[in-house]
Amino acid sequence: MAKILLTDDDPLLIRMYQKKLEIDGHTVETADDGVAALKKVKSFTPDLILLDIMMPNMNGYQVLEKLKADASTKKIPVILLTNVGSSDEDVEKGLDLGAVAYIVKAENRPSTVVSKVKEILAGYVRELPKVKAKLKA
Amino acid sequence: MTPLVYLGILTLVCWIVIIFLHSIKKSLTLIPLFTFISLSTLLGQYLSDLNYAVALGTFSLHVGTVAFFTSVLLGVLLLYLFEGPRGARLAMWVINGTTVLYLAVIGLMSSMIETTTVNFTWQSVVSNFWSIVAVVLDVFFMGITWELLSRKKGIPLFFRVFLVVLGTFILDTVVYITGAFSTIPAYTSILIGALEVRVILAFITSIFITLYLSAEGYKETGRDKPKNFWEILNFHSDLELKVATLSQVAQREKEINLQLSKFQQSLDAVSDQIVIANPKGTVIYANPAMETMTGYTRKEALGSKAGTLWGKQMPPEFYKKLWNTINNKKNFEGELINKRKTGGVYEALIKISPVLDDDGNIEYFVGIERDISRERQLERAKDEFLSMASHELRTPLTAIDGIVSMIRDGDYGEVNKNLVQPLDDINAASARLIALVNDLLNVSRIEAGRLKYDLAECDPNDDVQEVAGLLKGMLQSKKIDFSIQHCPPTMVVADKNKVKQVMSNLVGNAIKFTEKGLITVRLVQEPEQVVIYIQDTGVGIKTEDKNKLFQKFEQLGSDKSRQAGTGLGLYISKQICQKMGGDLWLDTSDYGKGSTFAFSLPRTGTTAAKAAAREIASEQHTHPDQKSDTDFIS
Repeated sequence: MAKILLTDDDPLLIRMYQKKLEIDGHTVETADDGVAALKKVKSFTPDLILLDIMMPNMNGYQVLEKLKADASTKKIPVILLTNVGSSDEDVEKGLDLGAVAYIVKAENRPSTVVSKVKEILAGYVRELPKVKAKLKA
Repeated sequence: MTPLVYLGILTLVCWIVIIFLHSIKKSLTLIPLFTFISLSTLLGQYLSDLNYAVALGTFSLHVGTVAFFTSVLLGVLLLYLFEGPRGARLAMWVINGTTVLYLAVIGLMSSMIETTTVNFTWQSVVSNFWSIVAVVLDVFFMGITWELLSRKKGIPLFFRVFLVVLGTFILDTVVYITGAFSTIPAYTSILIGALEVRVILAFITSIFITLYLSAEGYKETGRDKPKNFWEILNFHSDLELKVATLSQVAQREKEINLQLSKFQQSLDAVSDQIVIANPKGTVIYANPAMETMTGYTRKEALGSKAGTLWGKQMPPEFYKKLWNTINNKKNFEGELINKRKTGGVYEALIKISPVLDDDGNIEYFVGIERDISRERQLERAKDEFLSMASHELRTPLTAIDGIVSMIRDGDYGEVNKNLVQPLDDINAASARLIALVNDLLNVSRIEAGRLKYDLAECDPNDDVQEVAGLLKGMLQSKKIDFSIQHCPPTMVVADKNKVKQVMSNLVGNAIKFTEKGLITVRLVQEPEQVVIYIQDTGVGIKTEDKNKLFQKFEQLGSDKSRQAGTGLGLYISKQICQKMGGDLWLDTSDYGKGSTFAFSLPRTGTTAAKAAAREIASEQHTHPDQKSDTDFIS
């Protein structure tokens, strides 16, 4: 359905999310660090970017800043997909930098992530996922 | 010299003695008495001279040392009564000294000026010498007589005084008249006449003295009593006493100095920095540790205003608050950043106590500082390590949890129905591990004071609604009914997210431990707080398990329910409630019927709310890198 750029330095998780997104009908490209991600954005022109925060060379926040600074990329919705934890400071920082959502990987199963992606694509809604609820799939 | 001049001199001398031994106030009250006594002795002198005139044929009013002598003697008696032998002895010294001085002055005068009014002859020297002896003997006599009379109980004050005075007068008269007139034929008649006069004089003066004693509320107990009669005249003891007192004082001084040096040694040896400042804030003492810690020498510190050399690293409000607190005679405790002379800063724990004198005024400030830079560094390193570790643990756990759920969803092909349960079990286990990682991180943060609280006014009624919405799925899957009983809108002071976490934890537990039935959340408004009750119709809690509830890693219930939890949820929730000024507790529980948990939050403006806010602010100040991590439901 849509073109999604998946950025994460962990190959296991890349494989997992890619599979789930492809099952749902999306076209997925991957990048394993910030530098690769920025390159891919230019060539792949995704409709949505899933972005990890803890990565070598360039972390997710830095990538986000660069994306939003560039006129050609700043309109692409970015979901921060991370395991750093959801303390107010981290979430606020991400949303302030322009992300539309902040999802903690460990708290949300792949199916939830995919639902969120669909939601964003449908409405481009900004969200504050402050309270975590354990939804058993 | 006219009688009035004589009166004046007399009063003055007595006065000097009295002032010497009593306060000025007391001597003023004695003026009337001495005036009366002096007048009486003048009268006595007049009568005496009349008596002489009868015997000798001529009348002349003698100024005479007799009247002077008598008045002074009565003064000494009073001193004896009030002060005891010591007072009387001291008076004796004064009187005799005055007599000698009088002789010396007169002698000098007469050798310089030819005068007929004063007869400085050898005779007068001798008579004055005898008067000195007489003073001593009379004091002795008065003392003995008084002590003897006082030991007999039941003799009224007047009679005691009268007998002492009379006895002394008789003794004096006999000795004097015999000494002066024994050679002349009229001796006997003079003696008898003189004695008659003396009796009258004794009587009159005794009345005055008794009146005075009664007016002063005279009590025997006030003065020191001689142990034996010889002590009355014991000049030696006066000297001894003085020496003893002086040596006592010297001894005491030595002891104090020794103690002081011990204290100084102790302070010098302590590894924490100790600085003592005067009320103005000037450093008057700094121990060697101060040099090690700040890099400044003690010499540099002495005389400087406390905290200026190595301070000034904190915002001005901090120092303002510090000085305000200690100037209001309260202890100040806090953490601050200081600067070493060599450059570089360090974190220190500081405690300053004002020391008050007997009147309650500040005598000096004592400040103790401890370098806690290393401690804080270790804490930060530990927290960083735990954060990193948590992150590292979460990644593979996410993979396990996520992939298994996808297998279960059929994303990798149809699932053999034999695999359904095991896959669910793996999912449950991995979910639990993830929760555990979160909880461990949060417990560590809570215990290190590094969990951030965002206090604000909020209404718990709203939060309950939100949580209910989020847990709807769980409730529906277990087919448990859920109801909320709101209380009127009330504002409490709390961290909104943490309130929701606690509620989720408790409602989640209720769901976990209830197979069927109803879960009720009831909010109750109380004067100081809002209490939220979470009641379930679940398995309940056995009495013996009740005190295990809030301990770390204690989980109750069957294996099924235990699988979902980490054993840390209630512990964390309770810590959080207490930190915000409330509490969390098990309200009631019946095994087999259900349980009711409750937690409270302080209302806006209450003491609990203010105290919690203060503590949280202080903790935030100590650990500026706190994190408000909000995932810890289990």
